[in-house]
Amino acid sequence: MPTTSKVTTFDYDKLTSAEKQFVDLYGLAALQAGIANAESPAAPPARSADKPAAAFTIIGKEQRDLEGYKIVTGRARFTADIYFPDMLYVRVKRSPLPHARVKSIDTSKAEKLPGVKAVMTYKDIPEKMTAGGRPILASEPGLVGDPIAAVAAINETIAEDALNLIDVQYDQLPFVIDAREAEKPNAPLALSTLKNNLAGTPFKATRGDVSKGFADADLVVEHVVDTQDQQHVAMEPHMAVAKWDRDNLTIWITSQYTHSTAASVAASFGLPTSRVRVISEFTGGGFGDKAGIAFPYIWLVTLLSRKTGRPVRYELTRTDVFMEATHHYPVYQTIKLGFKKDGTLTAIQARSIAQAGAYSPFAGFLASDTLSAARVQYTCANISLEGVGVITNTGVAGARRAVGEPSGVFALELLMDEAAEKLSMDPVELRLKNLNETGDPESKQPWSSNGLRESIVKGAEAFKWKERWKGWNAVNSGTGPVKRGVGFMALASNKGSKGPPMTAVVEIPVDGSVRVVQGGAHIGGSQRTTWAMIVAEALSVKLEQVSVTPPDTAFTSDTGVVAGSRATKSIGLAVKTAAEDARQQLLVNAASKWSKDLKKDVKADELEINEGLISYKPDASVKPLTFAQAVASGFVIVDGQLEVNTETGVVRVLDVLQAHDVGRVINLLTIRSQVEGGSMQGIGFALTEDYIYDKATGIPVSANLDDYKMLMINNTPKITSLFIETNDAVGPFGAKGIGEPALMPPAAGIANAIYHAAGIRLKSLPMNPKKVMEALKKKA
Amino acid sequence: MRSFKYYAATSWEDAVAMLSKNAAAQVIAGGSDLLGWIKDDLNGPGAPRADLLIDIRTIPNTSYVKFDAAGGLKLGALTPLVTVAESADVLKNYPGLAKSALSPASPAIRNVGSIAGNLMQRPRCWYLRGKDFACYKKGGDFCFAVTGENQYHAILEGELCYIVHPSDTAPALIALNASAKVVGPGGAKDVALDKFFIGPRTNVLKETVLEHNELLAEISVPAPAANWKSAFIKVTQRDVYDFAVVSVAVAGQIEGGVWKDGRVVLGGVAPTPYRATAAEDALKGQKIDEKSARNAGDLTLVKARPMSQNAYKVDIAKNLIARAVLSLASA
Amino acid sequence: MNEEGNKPGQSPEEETMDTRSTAVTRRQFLIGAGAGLVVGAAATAGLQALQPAKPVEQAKPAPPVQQPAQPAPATAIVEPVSGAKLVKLNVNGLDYSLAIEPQTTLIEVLKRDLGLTGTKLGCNGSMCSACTVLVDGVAQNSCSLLAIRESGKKIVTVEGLEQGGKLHPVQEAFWTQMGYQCGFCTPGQIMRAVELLNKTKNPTDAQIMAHMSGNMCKCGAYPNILKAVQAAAKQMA
Repeated sequence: MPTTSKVTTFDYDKLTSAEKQFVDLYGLAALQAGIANAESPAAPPARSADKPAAAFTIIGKEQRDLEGYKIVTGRARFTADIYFPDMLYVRVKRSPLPHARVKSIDTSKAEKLPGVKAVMTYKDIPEKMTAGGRPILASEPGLVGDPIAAVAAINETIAEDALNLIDVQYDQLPFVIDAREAEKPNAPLALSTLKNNLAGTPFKATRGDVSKGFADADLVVEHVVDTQDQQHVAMEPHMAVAKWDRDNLTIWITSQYTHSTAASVAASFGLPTSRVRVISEFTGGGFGDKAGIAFPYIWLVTLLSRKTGRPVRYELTRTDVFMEATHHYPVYQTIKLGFKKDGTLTAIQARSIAQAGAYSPFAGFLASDTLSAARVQYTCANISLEGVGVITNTGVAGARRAVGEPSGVFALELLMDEAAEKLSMDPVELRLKNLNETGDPESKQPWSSNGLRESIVKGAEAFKWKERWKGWNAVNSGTGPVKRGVGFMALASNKGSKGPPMTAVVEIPVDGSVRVVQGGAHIGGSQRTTWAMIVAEALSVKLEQVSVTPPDTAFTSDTGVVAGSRATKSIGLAVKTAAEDARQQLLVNAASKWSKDLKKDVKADELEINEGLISYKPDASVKPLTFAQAVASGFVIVDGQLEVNTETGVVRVLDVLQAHDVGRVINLLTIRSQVEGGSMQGIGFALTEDYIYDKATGIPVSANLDDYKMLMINNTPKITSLFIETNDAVGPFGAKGIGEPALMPPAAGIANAIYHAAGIRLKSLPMNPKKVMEALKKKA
Repeated sequence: MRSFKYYAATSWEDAVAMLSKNAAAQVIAGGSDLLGWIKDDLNGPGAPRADLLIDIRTIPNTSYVKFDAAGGLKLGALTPLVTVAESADVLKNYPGLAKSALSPASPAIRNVGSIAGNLMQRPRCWYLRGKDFACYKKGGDFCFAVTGENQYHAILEGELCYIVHPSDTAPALIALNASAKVVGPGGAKDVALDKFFIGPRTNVLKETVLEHNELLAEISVPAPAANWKSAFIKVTQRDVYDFAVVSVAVAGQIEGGVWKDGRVVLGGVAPTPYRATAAEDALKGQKIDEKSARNAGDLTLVKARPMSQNAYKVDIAKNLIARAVLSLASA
Repeated sequence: MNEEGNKPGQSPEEETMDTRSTAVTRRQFLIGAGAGLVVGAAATAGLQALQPAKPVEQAKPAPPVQQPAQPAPATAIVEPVSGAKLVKLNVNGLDYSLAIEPQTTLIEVLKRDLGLTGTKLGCNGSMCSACTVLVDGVAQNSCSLLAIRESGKKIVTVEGLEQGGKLHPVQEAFWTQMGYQCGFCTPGQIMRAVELLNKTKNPTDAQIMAHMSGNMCKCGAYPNILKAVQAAAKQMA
């Protein structure tokens, strides 16, 4: 049956630079099929290193982090560790109102406080200068926590004392907190510059005829699902140190993408990028929140340093971080599925409202990403999807590990489970029956690797799914207050393969060592170790010969952001390509040396490299040369077991298994750790983390680590990871990214297991004791 | 942190005298709660701005666990929670108290946080702790929880202000009929811990009977009588760094499976630790079984007046009372 | 417990200067002004230089080129200024005498004044324990300790664990088992584990999890942290 499909497209050239950046970083454009992704080939190319796993000497093994010594001794230099003797410290007065106009600010008392070196308000910000569209110091604050005045003083105590001496008077303006309210035509405008609160054109995707699809269905299931506001809470708070040396600017910043900051600050201050140096030697976590995003604090330290002529440091307090940093945005979804009796999907209809917060440069793309799973994961001839991003007076939405997909796949996979029960099918079988194994239905691009079926089958087998699930009759069959259950979900992710042009240089200095010059961040995946392994494998040298530079825009080129699960695949590809180029140059050099020495015509392709020695294949008697002489998207399933205490509402996750198609394992130690860490963040998303606003005042009430509850070591379940190696068509040695896919599965898996245990279907995150008890009461 | 002054007290009398002289002084023991309060710069009539900290950890001999079978247990005010929780005497004679001292916050906080500090800490209400909410306790005329985010707020005895008492050791100590030695300008006096905490209907600006220049110096717990047992259960979202959604401490004299006498005290449900006298009365002379235990829980929560988001706590509290009472019978 | 810093019985009213009205000229001599370390010789003019209790070792070698200069360890001490009091601390075996203001926390002294940047600040509110150090052998959150109250104490930070070029077994285990991802919470995790293994040989998994439970790791490296503590426990048994 021929189908027609239509997907909203964005005119890339008309996007703002911030939007382009976001689209590029997260590959979101590819979702919207209208934009061709030049990097994804129309057909799988010949694989560059199509060897069996056993043939590798370095990759695929457990390799401890090459930077580990610095980490465990406290020598690793994070931005938080940068101090100068004459440095000034910043504190910022923030808006207590979600939407207001500053009527007056009196800073005179603060300026007179001994030790205060500079006080700034919006009046001191150069005209039209913004941080990627956000006010650096606001005259019309658009959320509680918008920066209003900044003080630089000789220490933080004096700066804090000075804040209390600043008097700000506001005119309150109407505000709106909830995207569902803000979407309505008569809603208050979140910012006075808006015509309405809708962010960009709503995203729409249609295929076939969805009403016919539902008419043909034997079973229709639907539900309303909401997922909460979260902050990433990287352990290193956002911070930067700025230092001007006349017209040269250096910024130390905790970042996933220094080159992006260098470019945006340079453009804003009218400097050539060569005069802006941005350094982030070690980064204390980011999860997407530090992906080169323009934050007001970066401009503030830069302006204050320029004004005072001294190095200026602003280490945001944890509450500052909650208010100024980006958020994993709440999504309100309705989703409806149609099935034939045999389980065949006939129709998918979904609508998604993404709460973009104030100023989000990405607002137009947020809703579309939540619909990715509904569009591509299963084969379905009839779909109708709509997504809207809505501006609100809340924390600025950004990208957190997998952006909108975790919310979308949660909604989809809950409903798949419910459908499986109504069809009396094993939930695993229902997924297998409908899997999309060919590629993007709209762009027709094939999957770069496709191990989903294998992941599901092997994962279910390893978990002993059949034995532990026991059929739908087993739901809520336990006795006693504590009930156990298992749950399953599947996920085909679009993450982990795209990005802007990446560059890296592999240098081989005269001593024959290997230096990888690149600008990617070291942020938790032992990224520098991964790249060293890829280079060592590509050059056939020992790992100890290889060193990798930290990101410093003065010395490294733009290798792209470490986000979007692209450190291994995309940056890995860049360093591998560079290494292969270096290898070719080495061989040409060696061939020319031997041509002279042996007085015969030696060709580069007659040479090979092993463990750092170049040898001449036709003649084993020729002494090998050392380098010194030569030189002049992931797929996943999860199963989980947990227990629900029906007297207290407390859910305890016991056993998680994630099976991923990872293309190829580079560092077994790191990839396992990524799955474990992703599982923990996913469980926090599912059970505890919740950023709550007081609706009457717009003030967040959980902007601290007491009320914003993250899980600790004693809430860690057994986590098993299973890696399916399918040799990805694009990634280095067939590898692809894992960072984002690892976070997504737990929420749906846990919700489905809660149903299996206690017979309640929870459709709102987090699934805390309150929601469990309320659902149990409703069921009783 | 903003600036303040510091004074190291040498004796209880010295500390009392300094407090009497300085209206803006606050006492610092372990400092876990107070420093957070200062860092967040929370101020108002019920939360005076501390311009001077009076250190009472510098007073000699204030950290101790003393026990004898006749006189019972004495805890110095500055005794770290970890010391209480790990004391062999406490573990053996007051298992409910030991468990309650092991449950606040985190191991590092229990290393520094004192038993008196755990009793005296201010409530965790996120409106009280939010700088920009002028609630009753900060001199305002509104409780934001009533119409706002009240999922953790009081289900019992709320009035004007709907805080819940955050201490884990308070219910455990009240269940054990503990008393507090209070020092002040007139010398020392004993106050039953049961009467130590006050709710908003008595005074919305504070949570205990202590005046500004009075200090909690020592906790006394009577010696355990024959067949006395105690237990403590706390429900939280995570196993560390979490205040009780609901907690319950029970101590009872159980003979032949029958509840002779005892106390049931709830935490996390009311502005003060809540004596469940309805449960205590109903259990008296009853054989402990599923039915009598459930009944004790149900009767206690008859008086519950939940708000828009916290009715789930009523069910948890009922279940928890039943579970704790049953645990004494099986212990 | 009361060293010169906390003169018991001395009323703050007796102090001559209010913090906020301190002469700027004096304050400017201070690094960050939290503790009274003098930047250079010129700055001591007019202020009396005291000797540290014990000779202080030379400053650590300068960090690699790309780093900014770090403040050197104490080489001279100034008289207490404003609300500051003289405090003696032994940090990683070295004695320091420092003029410290009441609101200055221990982590500020360690990082900003002594240049010991290994300790990390995650929340500044005792809610993540990234700032864990040992105080007389007890693991505590250095963000929530007023330095003037710790006079006379022995402090050990992550920099104090490596002896003669040999890593502490806990450090070795955290590296080998990759008991971290980004590494920011790692110094605190390590100090917490050292406290456990100093007092408990062969801890059970439950003991390890309970003891480590306050140390937050948002990367979620918990399974490997458990493995690291288990491995270190074997080494130290």
